Amino acid sequence: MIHLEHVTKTFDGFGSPVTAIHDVSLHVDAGEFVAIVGPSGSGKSTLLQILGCLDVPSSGRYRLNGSDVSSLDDDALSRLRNEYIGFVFQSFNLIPRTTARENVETPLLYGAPGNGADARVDEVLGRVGMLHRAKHYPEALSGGEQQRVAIARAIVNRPKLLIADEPTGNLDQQTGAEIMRLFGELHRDGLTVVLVTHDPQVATAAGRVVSLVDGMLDSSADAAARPVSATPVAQAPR
Amino acid sequence: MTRGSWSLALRTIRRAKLRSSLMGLGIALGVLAIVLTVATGEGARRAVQRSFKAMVGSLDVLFVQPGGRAQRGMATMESAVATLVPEDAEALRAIPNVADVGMQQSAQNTPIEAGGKSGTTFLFGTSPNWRAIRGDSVAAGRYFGADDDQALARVIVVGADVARDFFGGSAAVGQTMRVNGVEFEVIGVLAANGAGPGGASMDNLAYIPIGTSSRRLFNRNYLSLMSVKLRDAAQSATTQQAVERVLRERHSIAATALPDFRVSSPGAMIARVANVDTTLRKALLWVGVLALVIGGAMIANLMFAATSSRRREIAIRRAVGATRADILRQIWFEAVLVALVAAIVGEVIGLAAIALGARMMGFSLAPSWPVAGAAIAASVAIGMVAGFLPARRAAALHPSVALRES
Repeated sequence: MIHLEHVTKTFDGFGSPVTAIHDVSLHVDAGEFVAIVGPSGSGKSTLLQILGCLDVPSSGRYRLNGSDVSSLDDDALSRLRNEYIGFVFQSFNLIPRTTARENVETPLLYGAPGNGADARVDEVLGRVGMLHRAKHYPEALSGGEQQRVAIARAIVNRPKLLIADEPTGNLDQQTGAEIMRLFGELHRDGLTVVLVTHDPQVATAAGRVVSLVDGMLDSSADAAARPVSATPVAQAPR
Repeated sequence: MTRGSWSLALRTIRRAKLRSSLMGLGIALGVLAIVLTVATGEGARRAVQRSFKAMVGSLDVLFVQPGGRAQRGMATMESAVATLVPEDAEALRAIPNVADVGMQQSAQNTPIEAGGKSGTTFLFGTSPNWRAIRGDSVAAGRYFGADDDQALARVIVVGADVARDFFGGSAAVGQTMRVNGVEFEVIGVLAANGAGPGGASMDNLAYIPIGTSSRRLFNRNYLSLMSVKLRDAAQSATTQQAVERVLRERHSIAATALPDFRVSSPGAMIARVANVDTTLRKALLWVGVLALVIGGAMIANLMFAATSSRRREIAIRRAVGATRADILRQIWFEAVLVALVAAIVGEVIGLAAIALGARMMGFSLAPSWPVAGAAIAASVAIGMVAGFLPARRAAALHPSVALRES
């Protein structure tokens, strides 16, 4: 499903370009649950943004489900994110002054018009146990509740790939565990999940753990990962 | 997605009421100023028109008075130069745009007696078609007809004031009235006209057939006024030239010589008098236009501020699939909607103030619907201009950059 080949991303720093990720190659099969771990500043978020088609590589190739993402224009990337990818963020990122239900509806607004949108919103809100809070504004919800709404928003358009950036980072341990259980359920239902975390406990929920250090994949960490049922990482030569 | 953009824009406006109100304030005030300024001007214009109509009756006419420029004011049988005769009126009927020609002899301060009272009135001897040309209506009885005119009948139609002053509340029709010592029968009472331009009543008058007035009262057949009814008032100017040409020919006056008559158009007179665009009103109008422009700048400014405080929202929308065009539309529509709603608010307040002023203070105010529409259209246009740049900046925001900020 995900094929990153020798992907490098550099940003314009102050005077000199800064390399956020360097020559990363990574394959993720459909139905996998992959955790990307690494210290802060290791390039995890940049990698995740490229995987989520929020950003494009400076060099290298990214093929998502067979199509070359690097060659797509902005509108096509928007469509791809809308139809194919769901996002969950550390800071929940619900739209303020917008009810839980309206937040969940948002991806449907930008997709192809279809029937049964209301029923679908109810369905996913029920799935994350937030139907009773549908009319609440984000400000009135606890962190765990906000993250549940965010997950409902991420899956409302039936994406194939769920991308989560430190989804438990702003939650207490118990709530975090509940959210991770939810990710586990979604994965069992067939979603491909790629998740960034620096919490080893969270990473244990994943089928495979990939370690990123200084913008490069760390093979030793990968070797130390728990046994995987899916394809092994295609490791870039170092 | 266009419909979605409208509803998103509307939702944002509703949920950020303070910001939206501040944004629309300039537009609302501008529209209010424009609506009020135009309404006062329009009200004054209509007041002038009303009083003129009370004096001249119908406006789609031309008046022909005897005497050239030497004749000042309204000609009466005491002052009129003896140049206009009934044959002139007949000749004017041949002009294509002329529907009818009315003839009149008049005398101010004509002594009248009735019911034991005596006084004076403005007496008119007219052709039977005069009432129809003027557009007067008869409140009681009837106006005289051609047979009365030919028979030199001693019949009289009195104005509302005369009926009230001489006959009180009882019916005037059928009563006797002496005019210049001659006995007349009152056959009709005219409906009240109200006040003329000078504020004087237009109802202290009386009409008798012109045949009767020329033979029994004045012993002269020349006219103090002709009223030329037009088929198409829009061709008033060319018909006026035709009337002048016909009369010059009949009176054997060379095209270069001064005429012995004068043709005037009440429509043109009103246009001159009703030109009430005072300096103050012009200034007010410009204040309104200026307020609209400043209102546009306010919208642009606040939209810029709002979009930078909404970077995260925009980035989230982009992340879940909004295209640049979606974001552009949403933000742009917000500006347009704020301007539209503000314009409507200004309009409603203005119209309410007009209605209130008209009722409570007796102001002469009249709303102008074309101006109201134009003010709203201008506001929407200003909203479109003001919102475009902020919307474009919002649309250009890169989601990965804004999502990285925390």
